[in-house]
Amino acid sequence: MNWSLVDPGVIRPWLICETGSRWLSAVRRFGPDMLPADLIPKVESATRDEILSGLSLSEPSIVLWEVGRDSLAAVCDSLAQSTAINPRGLQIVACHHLTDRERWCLTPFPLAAMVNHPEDLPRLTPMIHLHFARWTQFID
Amino acid sequence: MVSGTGIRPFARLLDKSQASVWAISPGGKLIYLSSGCSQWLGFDSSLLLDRRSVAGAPISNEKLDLIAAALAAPAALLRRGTASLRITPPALEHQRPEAREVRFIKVGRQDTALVLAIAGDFDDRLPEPELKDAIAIRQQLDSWRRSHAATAINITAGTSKQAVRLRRRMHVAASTRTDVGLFGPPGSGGESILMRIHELSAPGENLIHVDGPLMDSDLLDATLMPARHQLAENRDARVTALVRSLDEMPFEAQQRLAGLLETFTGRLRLLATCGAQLMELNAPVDDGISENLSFTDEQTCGLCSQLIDVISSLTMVNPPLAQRVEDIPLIATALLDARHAAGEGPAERINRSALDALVIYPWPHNNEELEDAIRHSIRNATGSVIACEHLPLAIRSYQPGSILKRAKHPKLSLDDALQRYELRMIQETLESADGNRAEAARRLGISRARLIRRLDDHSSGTRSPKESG
Repeated sequence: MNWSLVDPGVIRPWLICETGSRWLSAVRRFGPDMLPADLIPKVESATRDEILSGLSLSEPSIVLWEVGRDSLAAVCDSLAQSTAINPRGLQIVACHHLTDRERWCLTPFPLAAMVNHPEDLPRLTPMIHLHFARWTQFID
Repeated sequence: MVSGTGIRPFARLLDKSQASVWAISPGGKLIYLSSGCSQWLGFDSSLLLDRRSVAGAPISNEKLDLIAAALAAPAALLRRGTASLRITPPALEHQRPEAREVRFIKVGRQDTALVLAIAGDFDDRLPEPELKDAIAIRQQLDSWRRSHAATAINITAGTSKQAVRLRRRMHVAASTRTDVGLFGPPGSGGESILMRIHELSAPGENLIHVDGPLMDSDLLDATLMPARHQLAENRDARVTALVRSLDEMPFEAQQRLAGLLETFTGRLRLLATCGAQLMELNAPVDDGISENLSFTDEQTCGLCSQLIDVISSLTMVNPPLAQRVEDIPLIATALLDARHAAGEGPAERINRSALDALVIYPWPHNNEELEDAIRHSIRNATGSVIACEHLPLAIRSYQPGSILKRAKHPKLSLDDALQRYELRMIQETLESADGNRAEAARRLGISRARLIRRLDDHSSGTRSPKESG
């Protein structure tokens, strides 16, 4: 898709940091219905470094981090950094295999939601609508 | 203590590894304890050597004997060959040792069997995440079946708002004999819901199936002839007509049906599926579904006003499966259970990757397609688990398409896009030509005047993409 043809004002980046493509497929499937009708999610898979270097303060974006036991510490670090870079970004964590104790490690970070499976994504629709409504209010 | 030239290096390695390992002789006495045991128990573990360590055997009140007994293998070990146990030995003095997972292995046969025990951190007894998911789905399904034992059919399984509303309406419909209109897209299993409602609300009552789109008024008369005779002959007789696709029935036939319902008021009942558009006649005012509908317009909903009046007694909405994404794992498991119970295949559960594929698929043919997919999968699966490769090709190979193709975007106009593309090309060429407009125009194959005019247009009259963002 040539994104340069689309009005940048309606594009909302939705970055996914994961191993594999489970959440990429899920966001491609449900993402368009989760955003307000006049916005387009630009769904991209990205590494941790790409996400951190690509985030900017002015961009209303959504980042979905997949967290496993091995990557818990690294993702906590990424969450802290991305919050510092873009405090108004929406951060979602996909934490299927984590124990309750490991989930508690994530709570200090400003996470919008934790999801386990792709079918959990549509439940976040009202929250995402609200997020973009608030963000629009902010830039007005 | 075990002796022999070969075992010594092994024992030294065990001591060096700090692992808590011990051995129990065929006679049930502790014959070896590694140095790690001393650290774990908090005293010199050699004090336990030659003490009895047999589960259930009588022991003295001496603390060392109690500790040795705590290290005994479970009785089932002799039968099974291996055993797992979480052991918290009693304290010899003050502090009680921490609990540890222990694995026991029986080495040898019967009377000469030696028992080896290894304590450590093992997670092999924890269920795999995959199994935990399957157990969670199973528990949800069992809970749903317990709560809705009377009205439960697989289509209504789930925890979504739509599923809950559907079940509540179904419960009301099943508890009273009334006319019902069920709105749902083709393939959403409306007929099975109405059948269950009929079984519960009027058991034993005659049921006549009517295929709405195929009817004209004469054929409808012929189809309902037995019911008319029965109702005319016996004043106590009651009949239910289950009409499929009522909104697709010709208007004359609809009016004829409405006339019959009027003639036999209260005795001829209508259960109808309608699929043209989702509507709920007795929905709350703020319900999003009902806001968009005007029931005064017969042409819009495909129903004559008399029939609208009839089914307004109780309407139900059975939404498309794609709107009940969170229910799909539960419904699929319920369907699999039914087929497994009928002996159609050995598969008992669906693995997570297959469930993901089911969740992501858009289900254009709704529940019927899901039922077909499960039937196909259980026949393909050779083991107890349905995996992605057992699903139909259309489902396992489905990839969500281009987002721009699916979404409606009023701002995505061709003129705007072309304008942005033109401006971007001009700017990139200008940058590569170090701002030299004549060179940029030459590279783009246009005149310098045209290039300047385009730049002026964008900077004055037309909003640039950055401005519009």
